[in-house]
Amino acid sequence: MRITRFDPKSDLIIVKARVWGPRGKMPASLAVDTGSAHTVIAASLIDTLGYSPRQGEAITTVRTAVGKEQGYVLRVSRFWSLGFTVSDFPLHVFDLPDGFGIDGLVGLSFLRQFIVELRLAEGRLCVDRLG
Amino acid sequence: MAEERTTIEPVLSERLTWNEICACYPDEWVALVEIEWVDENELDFRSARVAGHGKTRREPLQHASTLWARYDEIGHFFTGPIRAPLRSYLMP
Repeated sequence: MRITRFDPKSDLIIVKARVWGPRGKMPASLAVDTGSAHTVIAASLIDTLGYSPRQGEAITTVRTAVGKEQGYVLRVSRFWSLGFTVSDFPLHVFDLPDGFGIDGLVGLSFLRQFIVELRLAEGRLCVDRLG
Repeated sequence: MAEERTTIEPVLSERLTWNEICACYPDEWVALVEIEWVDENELDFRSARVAGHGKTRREPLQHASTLWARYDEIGHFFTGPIRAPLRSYLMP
């Protein structure tokens, strides 16, 4: 079991993640969001890592606080968060707003691959492999 | 005649702790290289060098883009407080 600590006083559950691309790897801060079906990443990170929107598998549209936003689904070679790495992992890529200080969301597409115990008051996320 | 192309690399900061980075670049996005990790699982680091910074997410990444030839890892973090949006970040 891997234990990830976060600030229980923060508005959001902020954890670190790493994304691998053709140029290298990038650590960044993401918010854990069990209300998001998908794992989301900022387009600027994906561009920097050397991916192209032409590698996207599908165009997606979401409603945001400021209207409709168009993005795309991209499979990254590796994605790491909460102590576990997943290969060939689909991320939803969007131009996210700058103001919140995070580079994306760890959504259910990642979380449901594990047993996740969220201890909010303790600021701990306990994650284990299924089975 | 072949055109000679030069790339200008950003000037790296001295080695700084996270608290020093936050003090030097308040409420900014920073691109970090030569990150000295304390705990790879928590991504806690002892020190790093700042390769780019700016008020937008894209700015530091553009500053640091020429550094991929030298580094296989460039970190991207925000030095200010992380705020929750008033409404859900992404609506289903």
